[in-house]
Amino acid sequence: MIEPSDHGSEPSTRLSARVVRSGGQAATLVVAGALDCGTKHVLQALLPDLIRTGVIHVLVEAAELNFCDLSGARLLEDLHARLHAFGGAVTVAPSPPVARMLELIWPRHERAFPNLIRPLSTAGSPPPIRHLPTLRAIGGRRRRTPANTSPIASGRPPVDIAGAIERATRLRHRARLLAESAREQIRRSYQVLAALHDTLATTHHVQASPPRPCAIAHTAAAAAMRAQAARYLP
Amino acid sequence: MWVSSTTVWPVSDDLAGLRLLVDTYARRAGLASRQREDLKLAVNEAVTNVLDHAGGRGEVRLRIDDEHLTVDICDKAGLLAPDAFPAQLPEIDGLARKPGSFGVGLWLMRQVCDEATITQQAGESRVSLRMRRTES
Repeated sequence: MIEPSDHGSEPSTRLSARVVRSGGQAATLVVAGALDCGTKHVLQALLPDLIRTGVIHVLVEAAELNFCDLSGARLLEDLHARLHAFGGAVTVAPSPPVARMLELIWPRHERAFPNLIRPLSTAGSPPPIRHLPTLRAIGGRRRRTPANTSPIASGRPPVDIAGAIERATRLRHRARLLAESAREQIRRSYQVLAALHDTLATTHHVQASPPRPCAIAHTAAAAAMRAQAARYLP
Repeated sequence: MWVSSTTVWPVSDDLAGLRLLVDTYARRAGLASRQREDLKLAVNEAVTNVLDHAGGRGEVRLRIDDEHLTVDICDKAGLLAPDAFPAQLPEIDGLARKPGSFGVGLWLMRQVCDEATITQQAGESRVSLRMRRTES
């Protein structure tokens, strides 16, 4: 892994990529920095091991990716194509500038391209409704020990309110991504089950004359699975 | 009309350095954040094309005037013709774009820049990318 360089407020020009979670058929990759034809090898190097372990669903968490060019997008397209062949998919959660490019080149509702989770618009987003636990001490009314008897309390570092709010926003964003990813996986599972019931209905219909009652039951079950899948459409 | 001096930058595989230069110019020209991101992407794709399809020999020229920031990407192969911009996102066999298909970079330049043109003369093709300045 190559860590992003830190040049003050300048966005990183390097790429950092790591697998943060992997279990069963799903894995989460976090990429940060800049993904272009000079840096894509960093991400590319992670993929063979990931695929070898049987992962077919990959969430690419790219909220900290400040740049992605076509060669980076093609790398994600290639990965998606490989996973799609096994019934899986790539889902990308990009930052706003990267999302703009990917939205232009990846047609919506085309299974041949990775799923895109659009970033939340920061403009107009409501302020946090609930205060954070770290803020509760500010008022001091619930303080268990008076300040003048506790040297520790008086020596507390100042509360980083902005940092705490930013962390909360980031966590909320991440929770939304995970929820959307889970919904997509549930939808796909229902689709697979519907296809399975369709196949069973056809098999039973062909094998038995007159058709066995279970053929009708499978047809009904397939319709029910499809209806369930439709509930999870974005 | 006021015109800044032209900065000439060689084409190389240091794409990050080039994007930094473009961003510096774009900030100086007063471009909005989205314009800056779009221009960096377009210049990045144009230079990638030179690296991949024109032997990697060429240069980038940047200048600002009262109305525009202009970035010219010139290659020494001269193979890119003025009509190379696809009108639509490239399709193959009448189907929607297939993953990994080519011609997308040129299409993208037209989508994100206020102006994108190609001129061709003996031994040189030039892609000109322009962004309108929102403030002077």
